Amino acid sequence: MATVSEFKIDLLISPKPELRNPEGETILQDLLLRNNFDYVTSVSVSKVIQLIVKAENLEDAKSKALVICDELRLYNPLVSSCTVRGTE
Amino acid sequence: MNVAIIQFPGTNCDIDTYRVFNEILNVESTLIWHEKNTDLENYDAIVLPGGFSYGDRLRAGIIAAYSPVINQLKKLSLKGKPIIGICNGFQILVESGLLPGALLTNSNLKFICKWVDLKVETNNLFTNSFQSNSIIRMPIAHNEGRYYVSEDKLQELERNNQIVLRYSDSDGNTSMNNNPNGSISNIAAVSNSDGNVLGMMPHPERASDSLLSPYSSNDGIGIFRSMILSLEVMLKE
Repeated sequence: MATVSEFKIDLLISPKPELRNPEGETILQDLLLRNNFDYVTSVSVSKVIQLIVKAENLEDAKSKALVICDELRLYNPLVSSCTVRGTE
Repeated sequence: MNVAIIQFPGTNCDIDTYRVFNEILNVESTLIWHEKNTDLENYDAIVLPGGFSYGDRLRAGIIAAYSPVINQLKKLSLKGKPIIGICNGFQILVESGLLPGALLTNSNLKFICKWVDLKVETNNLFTNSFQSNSIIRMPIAHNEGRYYVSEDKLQELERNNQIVLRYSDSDGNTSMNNNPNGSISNIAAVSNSDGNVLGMMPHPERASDSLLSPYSSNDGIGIFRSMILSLEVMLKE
């Protein structure tokens, strides 16, 4: 019988690049550029939702997390994208 | 006639809305807890009032959008039942797919609470007691009111007359200077393609009694009155 372990899955929810990201713009304009860190050209703020998922392996855990992401709209696909990252 | 006002944990404009119907319009309305499994078919119209359902956790409106009551709304919307979502109610309607688009954090990253001028863009179920192109005043009070749709969808909304209200100045100019939250095309309210589901960020219930308005405006009541008058016509048919 396959053993079930727990995996830490991070869902990185990022705004789509065509949308304005006001928080990122403020960090860029009013913090970084104002303080002469002018080698930064763009800042975008994202959100991370961390899940502990019971699964047989990491790939299984990631696909289970993706199912939740899509079915319960943990992110809004109209305005953001979701990247799944995981560790054991 | 009886209007259902749906309450979620965190809803806070329910009582104001109830009073507008029962005490100003003399139309019976009923406060309904979202988990009560009430059959909404028995009501003539449904209002999702404003507030902070589920404390805006995850995203404004998303948790409420998965309440079983929303499945009923989806079915009833297809039968032409009038449904209004105000502020957080609008956010719930977009998150549940009953209305197109998304409502993002205001472009100035601030909670905005102020009275705004609005241009009535469409004559429909919810606006037919206003003259076309009327400029009306109502307050807004939100953190996530920046309406967004793709460019293609925006054109579709224009073609179908689904853009109901736009932020404007008192002369009806809808420029970025009169756009409080960065909404695309100054959109403050949209309807579904059939015109029976309305989502609006401004609060008509807070502009329904001129005594309570700093500008003596009771323009908000026109939204509810239009719906009631339309319903009376529909019920007679």
